[in-house]
Amino acid sequence: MELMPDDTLNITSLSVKPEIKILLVDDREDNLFSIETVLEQDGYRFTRANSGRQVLKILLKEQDFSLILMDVQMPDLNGFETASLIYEREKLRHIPIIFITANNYNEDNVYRGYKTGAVDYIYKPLNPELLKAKVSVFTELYKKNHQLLAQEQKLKAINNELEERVKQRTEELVKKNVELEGKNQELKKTNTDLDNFVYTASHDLKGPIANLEGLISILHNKIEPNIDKQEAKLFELIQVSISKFNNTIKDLTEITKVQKDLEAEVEAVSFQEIIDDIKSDIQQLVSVSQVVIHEDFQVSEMEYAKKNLRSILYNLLTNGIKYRASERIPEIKICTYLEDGFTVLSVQDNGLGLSPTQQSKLFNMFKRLHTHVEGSGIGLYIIKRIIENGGGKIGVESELGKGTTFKVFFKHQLSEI
Amino acid sequence: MKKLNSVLLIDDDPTSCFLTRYIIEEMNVANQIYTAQSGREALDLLHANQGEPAYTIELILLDINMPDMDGFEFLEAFETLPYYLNSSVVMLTTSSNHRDLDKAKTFRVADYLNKPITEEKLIDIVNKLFVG
Repeated sequence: MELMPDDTLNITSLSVKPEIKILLVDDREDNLFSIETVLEQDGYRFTRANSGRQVLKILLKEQDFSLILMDVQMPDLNGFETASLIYEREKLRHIPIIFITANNYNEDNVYRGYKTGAVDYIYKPLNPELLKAKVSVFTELYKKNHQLLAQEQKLKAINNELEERVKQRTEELVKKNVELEGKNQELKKTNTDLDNFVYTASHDLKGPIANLEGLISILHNKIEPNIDKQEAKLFELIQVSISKFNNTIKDLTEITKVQKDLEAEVEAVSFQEIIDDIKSDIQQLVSVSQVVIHEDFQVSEMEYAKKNLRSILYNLLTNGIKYRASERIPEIKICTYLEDGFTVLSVQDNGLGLSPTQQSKLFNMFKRLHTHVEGSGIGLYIIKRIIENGGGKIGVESELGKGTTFKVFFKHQLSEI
Repeated sequence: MKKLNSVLLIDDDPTSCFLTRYIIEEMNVANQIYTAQSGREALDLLHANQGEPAYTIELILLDINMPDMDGFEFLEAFETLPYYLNSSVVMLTTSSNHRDLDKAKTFRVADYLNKPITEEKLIDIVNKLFVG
């Protein structure tokens, strides 16, 4: 008997060890007895039948035979006829049949046997060793089949479980997705509500503050001839407060405007053109600070909302000038270039620089890091929002006392030059 | 400085109205100052006395945000009136709200004034619109 490979053994040990059942068919009891005797030691279980009809009866109740050993020459139904009837039933087609036949049986009959599906012949007189060997081959085959079947069933079970799990996961994911979608909608609504609130609030504040400004001004003009130094100082402070209030409201309006302007029209915009425009706008700041501005536009144009690109450049450039170090001539390098599928805008200054803590707070709303410079600290927050809404990102590298570099990564547009 | 016949001030905010009126009086810009707290009230005023005041009004200072009938709704109605070309309309704003400015361009608006109105602003606008 052949040894089974290890893995097969393992599988078998997991399932019920198959019992090898053999159906013996012969009209003569002594033949049945002698076959049984030969095969006895191999531990098979035998079922006997004396005729083709009896075989069919037995096979109605039991189908789990590993092998049928059948005499060909039997009265009424002979072996071949019986085999034909057996193999008519789908359920039984897997049971191999070894025909036991007289040595002198002619070729034609042998052929018939093969046609019905029989798989082998043993010739009389029976050679015990040959019988044992052939039976062993078929029972071995049966065992293997049985194992394969068990394996297949196991795989099917695993498969089913997996499918079930995938199904569950998918359902969970779909549910989560729906939840997320809902949350997203909520957030969007909250955002819009918030913007609307800020817009309305800032708008409603404008009227009263304008009135206050006007009233103070009238009051001031009225009593001006007799005003003393202290009172003049008070008026000045009131003026300062009012203008701070006004600036804050303006910034708040800016934020909501950014949100509303995000869908601004995209066009081909030239970096040089925008920089020149900004420089003419901030002429005074440029001349007072004596800033030296270097430009290197490897990417000269980009598809972007002009107004938004101007805001970005304006903020970065004026920040660079405002936060200059007094002990050296301020220098600002503005470059554009391509990198990793992004159009990069880099604005580098040699100004005050930022500590790591300051850098982490840089893009927060209303965060001013240098108290001596005018400003509300809204600029970077707004441009970050513009940039990120366009699918880009902004980053900062800085060292205290050396300077700061802002890098804006714009999503690469196909039409860029 | 030129003295106007009459000025119509349309503003729903009493304080703002008081302020503007005060400055107009103080600067002695107009012989007559009419005030209305909404577009509707302004129209009523224009129609009163067979529209007699309407023909003397040279300057209309018009607030945008008002209940009942806002500045734009007033302009829409006003522009259908026969004497609307007699007056210059100056819109009073609290901000350079883009949407409002764009909308104002569709009307015959002479200029804009950012609140609060000050003596300087008033003189500038009168000089710009009525002198030279």
